[in-house]
Amino acid sequence: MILECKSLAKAYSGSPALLGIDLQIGSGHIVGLLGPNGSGKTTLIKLAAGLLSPDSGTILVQGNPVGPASKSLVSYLPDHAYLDGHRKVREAIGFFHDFYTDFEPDRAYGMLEKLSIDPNQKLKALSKGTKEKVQLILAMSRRAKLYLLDEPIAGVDPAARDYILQTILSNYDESASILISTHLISDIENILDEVVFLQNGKIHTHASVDLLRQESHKSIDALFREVFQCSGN
Amino acid sequence: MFRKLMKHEWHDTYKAMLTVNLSLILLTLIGCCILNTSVFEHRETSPVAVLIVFFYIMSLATCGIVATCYLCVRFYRNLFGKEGYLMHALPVKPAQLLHSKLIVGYAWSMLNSLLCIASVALLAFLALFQYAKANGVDGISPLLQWGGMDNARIIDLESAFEDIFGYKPLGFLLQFCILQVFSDLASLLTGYVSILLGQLVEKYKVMSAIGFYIALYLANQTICSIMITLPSLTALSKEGESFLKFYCKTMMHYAIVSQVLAGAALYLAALLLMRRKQNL
Repeated sequence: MILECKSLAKAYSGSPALLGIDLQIGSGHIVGLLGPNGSGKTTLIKLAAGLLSPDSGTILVQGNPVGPASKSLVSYLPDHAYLDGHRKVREAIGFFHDFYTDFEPDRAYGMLEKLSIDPNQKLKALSKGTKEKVQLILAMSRRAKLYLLDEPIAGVDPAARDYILQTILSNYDESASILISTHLISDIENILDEVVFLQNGKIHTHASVDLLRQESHKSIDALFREVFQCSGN
Repeated sequence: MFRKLMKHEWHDTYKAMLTVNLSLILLTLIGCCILNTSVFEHRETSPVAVLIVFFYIMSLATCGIVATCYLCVRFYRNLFGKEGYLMHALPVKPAQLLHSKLIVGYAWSMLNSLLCIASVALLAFLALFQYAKANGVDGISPLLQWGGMDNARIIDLESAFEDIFGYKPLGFLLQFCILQVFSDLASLLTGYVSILLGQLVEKYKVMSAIGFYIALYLANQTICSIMITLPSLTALSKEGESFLKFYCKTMMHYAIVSQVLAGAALYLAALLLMRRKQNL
């Protein structure tokens, strides 16, 4: 298993964000982490990335508890700009290259060229969407075992979304897995193997996309709207 | 990995800290030029002279405050602001993050302090030299022969300083540098520990960190004040020896010990707080 969560719980100031999550993600899967606002998607991703500590339960990344060993296997993309704006794109690539042995700078420069992003520009001079593209390029230029992508396409235009999804598909190993959190379900559902529906900090559904489509005769987007509309979300 | 952390920390801080330290050097050079003018020689220009000295002291203090604030703000933004999502996702131990920032920040703080001391010492020496040159005061005239022409009189001046303060001038400067080196560590760690304590609070983390800084600063100053008061009590019971001489000499040792203890306690606290569970 690439990611294994057992009885995972987390609360903020007494308000529960995750309640006893049991989740297993095997290798070679692209998993959509879907749910309404406040359902615990970002919390789950941050726990797996080691930015939050669980109140109870365990998380293992390829058998490693969260720590330096697990972090070397995880490529994490947060849902906001997180790089120092004074750095140039080239310097950010150098930083990733220094700390992640699986980082491939040539791939990063290749993707930058395709998106016409100048590596000598400072990050603060880039638009919000371009910054997000740079961050995604940095995350996807690693040969990681687990990619944790929190809203990777939220801030980019529809034309760039296709390129980004193509980038995600073409830049990960068959042995690796991707966990993507997003609200833009219709845009990504074609690349997903599995979906996890989170609701009020609990797993509502965890199934393969094909199976769900077959059983419901609906797209994942339509199913999501139905599930969460019925529950009052 | 630790070396890489240090490399990037150095790279990210050198522009700002170099600017602060170059400003100090520039300030000292300007001071040297002003001392070569006649502004300090005439009674009519004394208000200007007072203003210049005031401006110089304020500038020195500003450089020190700016350097410490910059290092603390960087510690906060880099580890607990949005950049923390990058730093805490790196495959390194939390203690390595602390140590890289502490070593680089401390190196800059020390450089800043030593430049301040060198600036004051140089300008004080030049002022004394100019004064002696202008007034021909007998007690200061040996300074004019500092080149070695009249060693006997230089020894006299040093002895006079030692009689009053318990140290020769260079010995006093050295002791002061040692005190400053340890107090720099305590000062930087006060900022870091305050930020780390602020992270324990659910809301208003920055305001809490400022509150913790004030509390820790006051605690350090109180303990240090008590410790440097102790020698005066001993000095009062001494007979036959100058009170000031004994007090200055012993006070310096107590002050250094208090800063070493404060630095050690704050370092352990910072290490403990960095190792606690992360919640960004």
